[in-house]
Amino acid sequence: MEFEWSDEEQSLRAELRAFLDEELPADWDLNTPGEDPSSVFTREMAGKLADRGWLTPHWPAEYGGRDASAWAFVIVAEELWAVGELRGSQYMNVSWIGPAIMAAGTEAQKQEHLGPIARGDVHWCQGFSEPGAGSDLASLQSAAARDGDHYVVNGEKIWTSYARQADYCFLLVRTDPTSQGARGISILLVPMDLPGITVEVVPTMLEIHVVHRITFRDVRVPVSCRLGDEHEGWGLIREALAYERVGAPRFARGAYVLDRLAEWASDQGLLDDPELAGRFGRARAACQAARILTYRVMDDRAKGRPNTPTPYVARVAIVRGERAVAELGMDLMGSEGLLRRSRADSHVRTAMIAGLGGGSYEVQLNLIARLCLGMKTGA
Amino acid sequence: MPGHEDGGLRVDFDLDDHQTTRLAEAAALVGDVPAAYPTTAVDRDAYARLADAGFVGRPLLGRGDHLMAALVVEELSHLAVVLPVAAGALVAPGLGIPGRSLFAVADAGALGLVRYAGQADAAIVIGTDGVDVAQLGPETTTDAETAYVYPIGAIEPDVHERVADADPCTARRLWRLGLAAELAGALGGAVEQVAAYLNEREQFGKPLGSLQALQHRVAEAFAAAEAARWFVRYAAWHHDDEEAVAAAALTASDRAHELCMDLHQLCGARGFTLDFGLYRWTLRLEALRQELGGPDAHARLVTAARWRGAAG
Repeated sequence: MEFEWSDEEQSLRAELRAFLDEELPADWDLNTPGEDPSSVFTREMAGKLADRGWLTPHWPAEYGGRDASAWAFVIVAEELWAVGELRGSQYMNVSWIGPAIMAAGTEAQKQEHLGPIARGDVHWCQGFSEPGAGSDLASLQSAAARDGDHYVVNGEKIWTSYARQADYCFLLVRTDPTSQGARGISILLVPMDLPGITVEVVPTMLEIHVVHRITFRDVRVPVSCRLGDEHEGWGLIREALAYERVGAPRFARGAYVLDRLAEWASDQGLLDDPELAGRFGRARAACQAARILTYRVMDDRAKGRPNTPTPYVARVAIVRGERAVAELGMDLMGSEGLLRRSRADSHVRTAMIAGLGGGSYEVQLNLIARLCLGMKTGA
Repeated sequence: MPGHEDGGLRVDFDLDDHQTTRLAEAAALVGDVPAAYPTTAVDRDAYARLADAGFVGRPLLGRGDHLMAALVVEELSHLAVVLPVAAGALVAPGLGIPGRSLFAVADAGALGLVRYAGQADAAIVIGTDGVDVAQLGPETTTDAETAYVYPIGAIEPDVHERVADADPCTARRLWRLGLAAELAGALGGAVEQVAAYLNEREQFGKPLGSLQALQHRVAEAFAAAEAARWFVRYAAWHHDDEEAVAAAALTASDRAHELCMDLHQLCGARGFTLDFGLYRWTLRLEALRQELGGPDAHARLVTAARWRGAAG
């Protein structure tokens, strides 16, 4: 057991920071990560990151990576997410969509998808939640009926981030109509321009993060788009979701926002107030605890260990860290925090998302109880 | 526990073979701690065995020695051991204080209630401008009554010996690190026992642990214990980092009172019984939470170290 970055990893972080100093427009860091999923700017940035080998450093060279350790990806993700996420929605591609395709895809699927992801010129969305299947994702009902060498997909996905900009959807469907729960689910990698797909924005109070409803009406998807075995998608998605839970290093954003708040408080002479100093210390420690627990997940990932419960513990810490920063930010800024796009405003709303995105906080607790504490399914 | 010297991957959360072996050795040396035991006398023989095996009174020389020491402190607290291992494994060696004595650790400004006062051979007294070692005996200590697991009392040492080159900030940081490791071990031990009980105890025709209302509470406690455990280990590796050590102590102590209450609540009246033994961890948490100024002091120190460049 040891906790030290290698020289190479420290250099990577320094190079990234120099890159960001040069490329970041003024006030870009007021963007909430993911708020700008695919503008000209984020596309350009994704390309520049790819050119430098920073988009998929941890991928094998044959798929457009440079065989770096999983820690290189962690460093990239932290630095980019903290300042507002220059990759737009493509952080998701490199965090778990690409690795899922790498793990279970056919050679043709790898050739089709991994190159564009590594080059930074493709956008994905995840077709998971449905009107009747949110926390209980395994109860999803969107159906894919086999018709020769196609599936005919009908159903509705909702609360989907980035759907409007997406080129592909990582879609969960039920391919066995007689099945219930986790069995009988398959994954389809669906081009979003297929006939029968419609995307609508679902208005929300979040503003910083647009979500959508995707409707599939008799959408014919080639069987060759299926990822992994038919009816057996759940195991793959469970693994992918584990990484999605920590794929966005929210603790890094929380720590970054906290640093900015501390600068402001210090300028006002407020940081000498013992009570406020205590609150800053607590928020900082909460973010750092989340960071360390996330590193533990990444250690599992780097060692190729599937299905460990570490992501659930990390996610709980991540949510607590986000909330601590959000509450402090709002209290510190007072009424000014209510102004649209104030630091407090955007962080409060992103902290609200943290407890739900990637599986609700309560689902993480269920999983901890079951997998870490040996408890039976809750009643 | 040497680090890799090839410039490659150095973040590794797994115990290596040496760490695993040493922790097992330490656990074997203290033996089983009975659920109900007197809290007024420490097991000096067990402490001597730990000293013989180099777990206490051993200089911290190599890379990772602080981590190894913190792991032992955490493990023994997890096993509900009542011995001043944090002082003997971390504080004294870290300050270059030799010997296999039982040490109490105290702030020069707060000698009224010191953990292990009546049991220790000597006290490491941390002042503002230096660190002293004071020999203790019946004439210089006054025991106090407490139910909170550790013996405590006042010390009035008459002979102090200044420790050469010992920095008070370093002393407090090592103390804080050891304290954090003790808290983390106690949190882990308490949560384990409560989870096992909830899985076994049946009410309403099913194990209590199958009730989601209870699952969530114990899962929260587990997550808090895990955060403490890993933060302490991380801080032990970075033992010179004031912020990391203070944040680890904060993470381990800030919810200790709440968890003490909640974990007992989950166990009902059974949790109060001596033979059940949950108090060995929960009351320990309350005691440890008070040390070094408590969570508020740790939190302010995090802020000072992070944003004001101050040291403890």
